[in-house]
Amino acid sequence: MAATLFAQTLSSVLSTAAIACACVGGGLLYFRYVRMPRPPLGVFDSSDLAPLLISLFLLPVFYLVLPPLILTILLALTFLGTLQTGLSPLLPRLLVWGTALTLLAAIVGTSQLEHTGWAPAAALHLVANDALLIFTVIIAANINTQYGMRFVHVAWYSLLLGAYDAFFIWVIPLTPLLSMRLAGLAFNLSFGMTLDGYQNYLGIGDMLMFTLVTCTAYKGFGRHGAISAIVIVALFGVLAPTVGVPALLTLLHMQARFIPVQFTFGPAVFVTWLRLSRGAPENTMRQWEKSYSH
Amino acid sequence: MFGTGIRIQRLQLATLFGRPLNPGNMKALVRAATHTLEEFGSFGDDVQQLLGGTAPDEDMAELALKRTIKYLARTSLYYQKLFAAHSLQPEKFQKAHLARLPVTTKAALLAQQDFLARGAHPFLSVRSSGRFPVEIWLTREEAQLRPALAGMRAYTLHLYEPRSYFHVNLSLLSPLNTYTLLEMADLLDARINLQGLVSPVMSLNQLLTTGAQAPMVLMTYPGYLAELLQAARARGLGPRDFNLRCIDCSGEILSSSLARAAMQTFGAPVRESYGMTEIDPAGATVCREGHLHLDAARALFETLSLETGAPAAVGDLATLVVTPYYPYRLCMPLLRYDTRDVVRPIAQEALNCELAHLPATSPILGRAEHMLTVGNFRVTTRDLVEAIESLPTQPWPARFHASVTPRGIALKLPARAFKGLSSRELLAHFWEARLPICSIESVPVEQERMLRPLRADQWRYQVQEQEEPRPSVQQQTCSTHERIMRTWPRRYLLKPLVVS
Repeated sequence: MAATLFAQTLSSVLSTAAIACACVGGGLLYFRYVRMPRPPLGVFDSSDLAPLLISLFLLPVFYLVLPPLILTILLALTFLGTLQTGLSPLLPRLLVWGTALTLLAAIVGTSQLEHTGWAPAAALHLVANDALLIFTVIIAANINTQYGMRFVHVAWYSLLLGAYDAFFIWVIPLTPLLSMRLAGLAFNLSFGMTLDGYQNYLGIGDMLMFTLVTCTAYKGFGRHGAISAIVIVALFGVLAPTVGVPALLTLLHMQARFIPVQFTFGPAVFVTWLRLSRGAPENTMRQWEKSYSH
Repeated sequence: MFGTGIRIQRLQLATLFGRPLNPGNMKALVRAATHTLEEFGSFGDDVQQLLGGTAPDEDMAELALKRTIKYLARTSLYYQKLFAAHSLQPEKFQKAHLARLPVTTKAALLAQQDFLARGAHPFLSVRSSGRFPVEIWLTREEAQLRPALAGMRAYTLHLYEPRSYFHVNLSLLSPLNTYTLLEMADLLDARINLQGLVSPVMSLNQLLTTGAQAPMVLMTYPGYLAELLQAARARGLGPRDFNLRCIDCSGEILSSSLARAAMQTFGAPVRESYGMTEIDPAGATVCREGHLHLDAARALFETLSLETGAPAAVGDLATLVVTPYYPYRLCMPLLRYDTRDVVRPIAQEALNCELAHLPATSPILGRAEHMLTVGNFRVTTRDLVEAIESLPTQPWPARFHASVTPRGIALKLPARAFKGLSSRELLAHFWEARLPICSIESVPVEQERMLRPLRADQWRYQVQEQEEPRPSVQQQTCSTHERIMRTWPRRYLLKPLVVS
């Protein structure tokens, strides 16, 4: 029993860490070397948190009420738009569209093959879906950071998200419901990984927050900020939800299939922001580019 | 960012459908532009087009003109009569028809004919400068829009950066200009010292403050700049004593010698711009190569020959005729306003400067009524100012009186222009400048005020008037103080204002 629990925990830690490394590392590299085209005017400011919070509450409802086909089409269009925005600075236009459409087609194709019972289809679908989600997380985090989002915005947003995450998992189980609803679709919004026979699923939102925190901390406070962010991702984003919270629940003789990652991560981000901002004001994009670009 | 996106859409819809611009929306866009520059140091793509920094293409210019004509036909009694008299049907108007219409003269405006638009609510009266000031009325929205338009212009022409520090040595008697400067500074996150026309020594002391507290942008008239320059040189000051990034001059002719000398002493480039109450908010800016670039997004600029009134050929002397587009002028719209400011059209294909995307002419050469004709020679005010201010005696600012005699131009110059130079040497200098000067007379210091008046003279008169008893602000018949009290936003009125 203990061996099984250890193996399951190890699998959970390793899979979460692997995906977090891919997202955070990719996000930092993208931020360091790629500049996205900006709209003519406008900077992300605190007033932009309101639409983000509204969408946070409304999107799950839409996901639940929309018919699967329409939801799949909407998700495909969203992913296509994100990939097009993020790949444009890297590849020629034809290759951008080619890559994006190929990836989406691979996911839809392997999802259909899964239904036919072809054994490798499930693994292929998982890989393709994970690749799409990693790209999406890297691009979405960079869109926000490169459009002017600051660590202070992310800190407040994380704090609210921590409360939201705990409430909609433990009080009103909306997140588990949503997870089950999306599991049957071609585009799954959870990262999946099978390690040593154990399946682990991680929400795209959590990975987006890890990447966003790291990128904005890097922009706002340089290398020191990035290192602080990576440390809190490792401690409060990976270890606390996979080891700490389950251990606590076991001690309390409680069980939970879903762990609210932001519940441990959000407050840690907020405290980190308080600590970092005490030392120096946050850099703007202009100041960051002056200090770090060659 | 979401809010800015919506505001951009609102602006584009207003432009597309020819609707009046919302001042609040425009101000919010300038604030967004300020924040964008603070965050990124530059704008994203297509901002020039969005903020009206480029000349519209022919179709858009024609559309703007048609909308202006329709608005005039709908609201202006003066132009209704004019269109009827010239058989012009506004709904069938083409740009080619414009030449059929006579220009609107200052005399017509002074006669206070029916220029006020029907349905518009006049809010603020502003007067042009000069001996015969013209009264122009603005609606509340037009007045509120001015700072936003000024801010947009500042950004599209790369005039200022956010968080600048403006030091203003301009006349503060115009409430609209003062309000525009204050609000623009607010929109640009800038600091502003509205000093007005005070003693140059006092102004210089403020400019000298070093470090982050020092002014970065000096806004003044060329005449006042010359006085500041003289004061700075008298104290042995140089570029290291100032923190200026640029000096903006307007309202008078700026000579190249004065601009060069100011650059050497203050360590900042001098820029010249052009504006006029009657054609506001359209204006023009002089580029580094000395072309006057016209604000073609807000008005139609024509250059008409001084002799024939027909479109002037490249190099000819022409008067600048301006039609501010709808919806920039709502209360007192004007069509083909003859500014009588003289320019020479230049070939647009030859433009290769930083503002080449905007149409251009030569800089303003002077007023048409101040031109002197001697035989085949036509001498403009700029010709004289350039020649006088390039004298080795550096008699800045150029004060003179010029009159035409059968032998040529008789020139009167202040005594300080002669310092160490004989009349013959002075004559040789003007002949070298190809000016037909036949005699030069020296004017003693006490009579200098009889020579060409300058805007900077205002502070001198003030000093002299202060020595004489004068009525209190309340007793003055001039309503400037009341106008300011009524029109300035409350937050600027922390202390009772006394306007001299």
